[in-house]
Amino acid sequence: MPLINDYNLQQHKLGGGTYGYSATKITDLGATEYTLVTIAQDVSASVQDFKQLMEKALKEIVNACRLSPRADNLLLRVVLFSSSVKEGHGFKLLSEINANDYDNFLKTGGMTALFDAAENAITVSNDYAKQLVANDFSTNGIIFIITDGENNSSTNTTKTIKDAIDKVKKSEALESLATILVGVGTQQTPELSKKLDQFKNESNLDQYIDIEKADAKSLAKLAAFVSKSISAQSQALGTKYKFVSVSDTLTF
Amino acid sequence: MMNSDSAFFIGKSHKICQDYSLYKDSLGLSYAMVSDGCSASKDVDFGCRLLSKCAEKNISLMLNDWDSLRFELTSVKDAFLLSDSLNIEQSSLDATLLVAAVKDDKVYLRASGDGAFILRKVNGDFLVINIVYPRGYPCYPSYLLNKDGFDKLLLHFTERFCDDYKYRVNIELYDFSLKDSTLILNETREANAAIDYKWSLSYKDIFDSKQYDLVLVMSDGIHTFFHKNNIISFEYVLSNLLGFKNYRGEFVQRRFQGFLRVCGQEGWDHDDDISFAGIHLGE
Repeated sequence: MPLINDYNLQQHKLGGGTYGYSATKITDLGATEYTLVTIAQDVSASVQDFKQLMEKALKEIVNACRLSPRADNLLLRVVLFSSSVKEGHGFKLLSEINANDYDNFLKTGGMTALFDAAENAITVSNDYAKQLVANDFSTNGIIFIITDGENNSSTNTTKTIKDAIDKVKKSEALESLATILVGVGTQQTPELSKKLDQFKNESNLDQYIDIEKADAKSLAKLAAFVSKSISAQSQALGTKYKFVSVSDTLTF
Repeated sequence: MMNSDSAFFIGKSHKICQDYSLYKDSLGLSYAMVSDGCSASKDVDFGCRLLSKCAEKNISLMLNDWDSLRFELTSVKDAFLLSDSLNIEQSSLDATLLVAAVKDDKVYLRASGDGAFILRKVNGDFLVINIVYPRGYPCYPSYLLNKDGFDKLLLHFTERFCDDYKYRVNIELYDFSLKDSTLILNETREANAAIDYKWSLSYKDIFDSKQYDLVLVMSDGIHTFFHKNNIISFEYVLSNLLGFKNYRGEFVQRRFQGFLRVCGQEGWDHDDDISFAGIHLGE
């Protein structure tokens, strides 16, 4: 694993004490508002076949976001999940991310703690947003949960994920939170698209993106979609609206 | 390391924001200024911007020729040339100009028109300088643009308005402490700044920068916060506004954004436009 998380991030513990996260020190932030971007990436054993393409997609997302007029207002966190959830790196300013650090970033193996990853991404975003708002910043958030399989190793349930989303709404720290589930290479597994869409609905996530093939062309399209969505969500800051695509479910 | 920032926000009663603010940090010099266009004049949204940008261009005049009105006169003349070239009426320049600058261990404060300066002392107490025109007719640098010349203008005002209460300016100085989000008044006193030309310069003074760590300047819109038709006192507004969390980057915009969030929760609103700028002098 590259030293991608060695930047001077501050460690945070969550109330329950089950896991923590890292994020840029609030005193190091200079803008008025930030979009908290989380990419929760499946690194279970089955991702091995396309892990290099996925790393390339991560680099493309970061490089594309750098060109966004909102580049200085983005904080990116990457969460990796297999049998358990690990933080690839905490919320970092784009200017502090070296895209080449994503080479050999994904270490695959194990099962798919999809629900835990989703809950982690939502809860951590809300917690950091609360701290930012307490320090006069405005925030919104966008979460991408990218998986090639259904959940088979989580302590959380669709209900706890739904509850986490409800907490986000009640706390009002995040002006809005867009949650997007992405199924990759779904044609390999019968019924996977249907099950992920069902997971999206039961957890109250906003959108499901179905990518049938985990090939270079499809993952390049995914990278473009993710970076455009990040930019759109960030531009929505201050409006109370959030980014949504034309349909709850997209296939490409 | 000094850091400056500014912000301006439209008031509830306005269709176009007629306030403007700007700031700059360069080697050894930081400045922050606000300008509030007269809502009775046309195109003052352009005017307050032109005046501010021209004042920025002429900031060295303010520092080097402190006792004269060359800064205001040159700035408004430059602004007039620009507005005239755009076929915008001269009255568009009817706008206040409040400037705070820090250079060589000195804090320079200079105002034409109403508004407020706030200095935070290194012990955390605040000095508030509130410039008020009780009858609501503040002076503007544009009054220096009279075609008959500045001397005639002075005579004109001396004869007609000098004793007129309409143009009287009150300079109110308060010393406050901020404890647990409550402002505690320590002292009220008279301004000791010498004002030679009431009708074009409202206030000027120089302070020792070593005694202060934060300098703020704001337009008179800060006095227009209300809740259910009741005006909220200036002191109460300040007690909620002055709780800065940190001073990195856009610290003024952030603080005002946080303050407006509280206003939203409390049901407060502000009628007039507000411009707000500040210089943090460092730790």
